[in-house]
Amino acid sequence: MEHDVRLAVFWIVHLFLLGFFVIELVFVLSVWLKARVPGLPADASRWRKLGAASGFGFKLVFSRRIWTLLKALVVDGMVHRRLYRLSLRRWAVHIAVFGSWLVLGIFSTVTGFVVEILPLLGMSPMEAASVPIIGPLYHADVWWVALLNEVLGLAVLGGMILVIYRRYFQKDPQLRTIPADSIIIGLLALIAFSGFPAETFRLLADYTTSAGAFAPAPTMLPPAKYPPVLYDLWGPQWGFAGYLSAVILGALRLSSEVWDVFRNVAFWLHFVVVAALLFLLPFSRFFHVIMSPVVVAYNSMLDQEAHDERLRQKMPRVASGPRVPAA
Amino acid sequence: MPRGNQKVDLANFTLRQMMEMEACTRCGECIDACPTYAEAQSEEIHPQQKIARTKSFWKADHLGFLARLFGIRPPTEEDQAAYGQGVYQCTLCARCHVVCPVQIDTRPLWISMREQLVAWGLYPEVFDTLRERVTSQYNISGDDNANRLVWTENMEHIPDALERKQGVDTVYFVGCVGSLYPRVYRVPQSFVQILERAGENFTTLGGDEWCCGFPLEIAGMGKSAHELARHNVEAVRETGARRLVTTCPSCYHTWADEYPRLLGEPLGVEVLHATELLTEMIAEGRIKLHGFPQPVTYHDPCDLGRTSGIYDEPRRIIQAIPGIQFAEMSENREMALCCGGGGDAEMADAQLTAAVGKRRIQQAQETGAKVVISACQQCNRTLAEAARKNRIRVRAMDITEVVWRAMEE
Repeated sequence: MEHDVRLAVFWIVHLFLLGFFVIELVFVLSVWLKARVPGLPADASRWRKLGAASGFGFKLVFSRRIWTLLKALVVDGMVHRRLYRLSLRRWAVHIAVFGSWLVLGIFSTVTGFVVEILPLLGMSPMEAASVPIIGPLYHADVWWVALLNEVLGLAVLGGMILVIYRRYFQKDPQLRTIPADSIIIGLLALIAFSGFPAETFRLLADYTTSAGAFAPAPTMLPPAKYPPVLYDLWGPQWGFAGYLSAVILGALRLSSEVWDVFRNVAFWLHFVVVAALLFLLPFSRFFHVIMSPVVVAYNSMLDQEAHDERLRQKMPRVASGPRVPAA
Repeated sequence: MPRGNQKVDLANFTLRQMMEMEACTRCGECIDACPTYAEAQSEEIHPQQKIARTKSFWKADHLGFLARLFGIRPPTEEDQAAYGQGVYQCTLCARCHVVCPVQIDTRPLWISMREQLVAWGLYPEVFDTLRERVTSQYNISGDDNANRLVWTENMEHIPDALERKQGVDTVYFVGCVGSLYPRVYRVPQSFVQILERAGENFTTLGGDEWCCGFPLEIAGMGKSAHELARHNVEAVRETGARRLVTTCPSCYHTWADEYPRLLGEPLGVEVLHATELLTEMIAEGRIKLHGFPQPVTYHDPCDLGRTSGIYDEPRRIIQAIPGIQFAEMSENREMALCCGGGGDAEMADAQLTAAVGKRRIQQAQETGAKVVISACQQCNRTLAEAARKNRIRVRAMDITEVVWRAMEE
């Protein structure tokens, strides 16, 4: 399959799935809105509840409380302070999986913006790749992009191995595994693992000479794919695991066309598994990846406010006067 | 009783609770922290399972074909019965909230689940008796409510104007357990003597005091508590008092947090727990403490600590008593173990809550204390019972008793 055709299919399916995912979320929200919203009668319409909830969120975002909320989102929603206090080991595993996914997700979004959106805005590949800071994300073989992807990918993979070990081999008595958990864990592990062959076969397809040798050089890629402005930053070897695998498999001396077939298989496998996870997400326990940061940030903000209020109330009082701070 | 064709009524839950249930990661931290699960080892009790069950129930009822697509099946009668039992075997101690990495506000969630079970008729029958007593006799024991001051009968000296005096500064809300259960009469007896000695201008509502509604609220029958709230607030307002004090942490929580929400208006009186008032009186020198030379420990009542955030005041009071030897239990403050007496769980499964009480009194014994001090009549009663049944030589005393004894020494 031609490269451009593959990308076109990818984006069409990707956007369709994202649309379906949004529909799923709207459906879930419509069910949630059957619940009570404080301050409204229990039989209020779902539109009214949505209005009240949105109004509350809007006021929150534009109030001074937003700083407490943002701090809570980072400290509790992203860094998982409570889990860190409970168990350093479990925190490390969770951060390896969740934190790495999060950063990889942010990277992918910015990459999509540089590669797909900037050209739509009239920029040439050269201009898009020259944008400060985010421009080098134009290609995965820029050394620091390769390194970051590699390290984060390995962190996810390592984290998933530990998750599987704890749940299925160590059988931690704290955990209760149901079949739906196994499906989600299987998909996550497959996503983490399938990224590496996809990367290896991409390197082999891109950098195999007509003589069948794996001999990478930036000039082997057309300028539209790897703009010359990034030549100084070229360094696929920084993606060490994928690169090493490519060196080893390169000894087979297959043609770049053959490697391209492997690349397509690995790419679509990776994509299909991601799509399946996205489809299952709103109806599985994995929905917590979206809900937990939101809930923990909000609850942590309320806890902090309640704590501050208690401290305020405990300040010494002037007889029949206002509460004043202790000297 | 089966729920028949009744669906989960999501109006029993708040939007926030729906989101919290989805945010549960099923990490299992709550399982280790749950005091009743530790004793019963029943999967239906622990928080993770209660959330999982609730989610599967409402998803089966409200997600239509998507539920079946994702393998969520309607619950069987056995599932519902097990769920109901598990939800009512909880002491509502909220240790699960403390350890939850997502900080799910678990206590109100368990109460919402009970509201759903009440709507389905899947609750222990004993709660019908409770509701009948509280809504018709206005107390949990079913006694004539005019006898609310029966605890004063064996006092050598009864403070003046104890019943509905007008123009006072403070109303002492005694609570049902303190008023009507002889085993803890010494709590209100001690407290009114302290108030009198400290020169506080106070009164009680006497027979005009109705149950605060807390037992109904936590049973999932909070809709019956509105009338009680309105009556009590009006009765206190009529005295002209500027503050209300309770010795019961559950009454305190209900007055401070639930009444303003239920009535949708400010109460117009400051609400204090006895430990807050005693701390203030000691700081102002209105109470002279002479001594209580005994090794003691302190048990944090769930409704005073985790629910209301009062941890320091009781400890300040204890440490202000000359000669007292204070030691903390292994699990204290936010992680204090429940005594077993909370959440109406005793009515649902007395054997289970007794096992929790036994573990707590053993923790008290491990400190070398001769006295376990609490600031709750119900904890006091439960711990005393646990000590008696298990022949553990640790005496359970309320903080008001200890303070009064220290004033008398």
